[in-house]
Amino acid sequence: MPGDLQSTRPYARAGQRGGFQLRLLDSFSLRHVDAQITVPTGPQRLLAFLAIHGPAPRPVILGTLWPNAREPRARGSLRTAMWRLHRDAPRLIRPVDDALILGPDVLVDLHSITDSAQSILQNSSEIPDDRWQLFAAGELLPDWRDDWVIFERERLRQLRLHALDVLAERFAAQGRYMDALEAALESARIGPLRETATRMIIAMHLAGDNVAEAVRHYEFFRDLLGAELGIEPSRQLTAMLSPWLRTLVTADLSAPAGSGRRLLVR
Amino acid sequence: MTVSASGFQVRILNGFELSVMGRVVLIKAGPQRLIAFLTLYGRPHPRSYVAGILWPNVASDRANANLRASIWRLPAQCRPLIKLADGYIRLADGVTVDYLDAKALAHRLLDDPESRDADLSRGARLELSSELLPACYDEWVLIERERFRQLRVHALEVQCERLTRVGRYAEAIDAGFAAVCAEPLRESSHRVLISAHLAEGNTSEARRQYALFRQVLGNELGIEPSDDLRDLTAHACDRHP
Repeated sequence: MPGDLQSTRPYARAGQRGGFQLRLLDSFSLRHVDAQITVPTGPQRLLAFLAIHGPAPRPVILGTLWPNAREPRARGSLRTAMWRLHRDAPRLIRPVDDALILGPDVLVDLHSITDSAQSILQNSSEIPDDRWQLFAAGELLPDWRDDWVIFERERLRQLRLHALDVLAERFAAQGRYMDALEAALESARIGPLRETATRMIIAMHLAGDNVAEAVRHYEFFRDLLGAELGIEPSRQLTAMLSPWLRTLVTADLSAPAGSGRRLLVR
Repeated sequence: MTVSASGFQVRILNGFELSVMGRVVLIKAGPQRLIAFLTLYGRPHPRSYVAGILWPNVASDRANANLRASIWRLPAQCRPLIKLADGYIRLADGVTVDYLDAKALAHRLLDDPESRDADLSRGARLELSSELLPACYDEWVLIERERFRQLRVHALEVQCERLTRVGRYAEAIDAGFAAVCAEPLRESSHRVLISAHLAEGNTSEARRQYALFRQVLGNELGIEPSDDLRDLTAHACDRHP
């Protein structure tokens, strides 16, 4: 069939029904239909690498997964991993020439969340239906310490953060403040020290005339930034609240002594 | 990638693929190496020279025989791809090559600060994240692969900087990570990525990336990032309202 070779090209993501589900977010798991498949460490690393890297030639796999082993030994480890997978999950991995690829009937959560985030970032106005994926998901294989995971984990994190920021802006532009706030809060949950999300949260509180909420969130962020990094919020962020900060300071000075209201501006 | 007048299209990024008039043609390993070599080294070469490079471990008459066999083993529709004249061998004119497109893209980014907007797209990032014949460990590929890696990582850094300048931070950070993933220990890639975080006003993310780089650099090489990078990350913290 002519489509066969096409499906071996990188990033072929069919994910047919009745196939495998590979989960790499939060923790590793492999399911077939509804049955959990137990996967030992070696095959786990092979599957994760192919899902993250795309189709990979054998020498690249050997060098990445078993960097400290001599070649015959590494080839043996790869064979063992392949054999175990073949036994427990046949046709999950396929050889093409000297390369290995993930079969087309595997649905990988990393791929669907990446696609969802990219579609938000690429299209100037779309709010896709599958945006919920950006909310629930955790980090990429959080307890793995391999170099090839560390940077991909951080990359995915940034991708999600920026997709959520854009989503929040898009909702805000449509006047859907509650949805915008929710996206911004999720962004802030993943990256609590980022100003981008905090700016949006404060803007949404202000858009809803909730000055007290805005000020409260500003204070929370300022304290967190001070405690964690020893720095102040940027001028732009402070400027967003300046009319009210001044009012509060004035109110503060005239308040009875010991009212305990902290000064917002030094 | 547009199909050229000759109808031949050779891909040598992320693996070898030959198509004729838009249809993929499967060919054997020997002819693959020959076509890949001629694609990579564009000029006409003496046949015996090419045979010696592709089959370095056999006697020269054997190598020449292998070369002849590789040419004859090509499917008939692919024969016009290779031109032979006066003992020289070269690739036909007008063949579309993905590697040349990617190189042109990288040079536009490096040489022309105003190059077109499409050069900043996600498609361009994917092109610049491609590796030259990753499965091939022949000497003649290794050096070109390394050279191309340097070129594309530089271009990705420029893309990151340009996107940062126009405030497209999400894409800038994507480009920065593409560079970092290609060369995890390269400081300049981490620098443009950190600068993108700072430009977006996210000091915490800049620090996080710095810490990550420092950790990996320490693990792999046992050294520290440069003072410049440390200062870049640290000075951003001196902001006061």
